[in-house]
Amino acid sequence: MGWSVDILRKNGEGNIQDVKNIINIFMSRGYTNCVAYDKGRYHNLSINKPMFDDELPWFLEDDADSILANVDLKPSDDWWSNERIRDFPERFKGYRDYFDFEKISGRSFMLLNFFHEYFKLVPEDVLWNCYSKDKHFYTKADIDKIYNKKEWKVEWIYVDPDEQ
Amino acid sequence: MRFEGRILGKAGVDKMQTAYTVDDILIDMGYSMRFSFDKYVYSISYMKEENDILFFNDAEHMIEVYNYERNFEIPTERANELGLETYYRFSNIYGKELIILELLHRYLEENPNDIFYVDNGRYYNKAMIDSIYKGKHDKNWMYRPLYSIKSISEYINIFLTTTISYMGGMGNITDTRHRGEKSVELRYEGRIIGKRKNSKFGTAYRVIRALKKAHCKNIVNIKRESYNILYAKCNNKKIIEIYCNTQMTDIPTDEIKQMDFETYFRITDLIGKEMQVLEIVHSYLNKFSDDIFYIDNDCFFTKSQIDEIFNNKDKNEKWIFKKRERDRF
Repeated sequence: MGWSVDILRKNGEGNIQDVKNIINIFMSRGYTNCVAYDKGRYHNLSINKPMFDDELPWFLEDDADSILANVDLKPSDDWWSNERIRDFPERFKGYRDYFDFEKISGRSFMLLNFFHEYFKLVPEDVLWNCYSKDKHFYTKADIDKIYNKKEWKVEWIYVDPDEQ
Repeated sequence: MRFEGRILGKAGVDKMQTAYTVDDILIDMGYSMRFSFDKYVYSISYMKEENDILFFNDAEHMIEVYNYERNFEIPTERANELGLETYYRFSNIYGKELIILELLHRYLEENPNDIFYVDNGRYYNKAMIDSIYKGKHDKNWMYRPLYSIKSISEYINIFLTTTISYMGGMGNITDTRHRGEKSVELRYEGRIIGKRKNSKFGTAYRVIRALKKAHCKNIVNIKRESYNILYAKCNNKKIIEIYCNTQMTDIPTDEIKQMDFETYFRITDLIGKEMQVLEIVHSYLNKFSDDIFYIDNDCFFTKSQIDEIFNNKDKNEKWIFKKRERDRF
């Protein structure tokens, strides 16, 4: 079973610059084999850190060596995407998801690393753990707080940011 | 000055099997940082040796390879006679000639029957590449004329200065390394496709007319063997680059092949000038209403659809990401 996280933005519009930002960050962290599949309205990203130069992603043993992401170039307006953002708290009304990571289990440290860097570039975005029970939101300040802790916990992405 | 190189192979073969040979060779040569942009008809690989600064911010050391997995392209009539089609395209080889030489040496070892073609009209087979490779490596090997000239750099300097003066100060814009283009853009290519014709000579005037109507200035036309390259400054000061096929046969997908259409014009980059392109395509399709605009994210636009987008008050840059509708035409 996959458990994904979403990144929200005010109008929900991603663009090519976001794809480049994401790839830039991962490339600088050693994920040297990346592919973007152009599906028209969205991009499907596959990000891999091969041990050897020509190693294929499905032979990677560690979960944290690869991740999949989807970036919407045009905000989706179907029933499901409207339904899931309906119950947003007041402070995040009007936000839509434009980008998500698939299957976060075993990858929470690499994601913490990534988001710390990513929110430097786009500070107004919000990370949303949509499948946890309480559906936590993480802003830049929350991520910075967790990142600057002395001890990192694997469970950071499942725990309410205010309690950490 | 932009030069494109192509590796040509036997036409009519399923190219899926050989799709990543060049990538693998480049990885062996140390270009282990790879970002591939997969677009179904072809995939674009951006490859780099190492990463001192951010990956996309360093265009100079990056090699851009197009793997033509499904796109069918015959660059010249001579290639057509020999039964060759494009397997790989190197979109900008200026400054990377020695890397290409090493790559070709390794590639032709495995595929001895393939041909390397540069769009200044040169063809190289395995024997020629081997003899160049054996000699003293010269970074100008691609531009060196087959007859001997005393100083090749002098020859190139004369060529460059005359073109620059001809273009009235527009010279710098055609050199990607000097026009401030330090970062790489993820490319979306737009194509104007139309019924197959026996000869496409003289179609360039069609798009020049559309460019003038769309308030583009400083239009420059550069002749190459298989196409003309048009540069124009559009009204947001960005440079638009259009390839007008004169000899080249370029059929991106099977669908277009069945329609008996082919590419007339290729607009190499849409990002950042979407509205200008919309205006150009709009004024082009006004005159030639049977042609279709095709973007390589698999979107087709007929005249009525472009008109609808153009006349819409809330039109924005996102128009190129249309939802796919196959059954409109």
